[in-house]
Amino acid sequence: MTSPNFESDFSGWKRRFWLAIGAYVVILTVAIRWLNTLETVPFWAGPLAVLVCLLPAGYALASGAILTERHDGLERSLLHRSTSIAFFVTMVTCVTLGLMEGLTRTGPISAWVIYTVGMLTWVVAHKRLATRLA
Amino acid sequence: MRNDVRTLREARGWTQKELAERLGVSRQTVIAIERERYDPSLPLAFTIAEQLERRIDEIFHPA
Repeated sequence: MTSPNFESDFSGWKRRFWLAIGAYVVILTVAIRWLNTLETVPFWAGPLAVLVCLLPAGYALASGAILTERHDGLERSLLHRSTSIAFFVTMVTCVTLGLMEGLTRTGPISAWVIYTVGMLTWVVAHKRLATRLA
Repeated sequence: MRNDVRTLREARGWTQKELAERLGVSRQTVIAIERERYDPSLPLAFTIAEQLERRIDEIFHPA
């Protein structure tokens, strides 16, 4: 065998990904509880909590990027193409909601709308491309 | 792009899984290439050519 084995690398990445997501949930829970215990929240506490929460998420992202860099093939193409589509749709959603909030009387719109639209677009784009290419 | 990957692989008696392991890609990638639904990148095409002991233009042909 001349190349790193995709299947074993992929299962290793899945294990690391879910560990990182688990760490993210734990850190987020701790951060929320900590912020709620403070009498007055200093200006740096919120951004610090967000940064700490993003550490395991960044690790999950980086290990996925390393996996796709190590292994050429269909998965890399699917990931790049579906992520590009989801990124474009998410940006358009952000701009649209921003304009609606700023120029109309709709009031603040939940950030979950952006997350839902982005994730749904990514999943649908990935499934459709996979069906077409595989 | 048309290709002769399946013919050349079968001539060597390799399974799709075996070729995938030699290339360091998933079996789905080999299936997609053989079905001519996915064109491999140039580095992957070179690796395929190396494994199948052919030149790239002997394996891949413009559609």
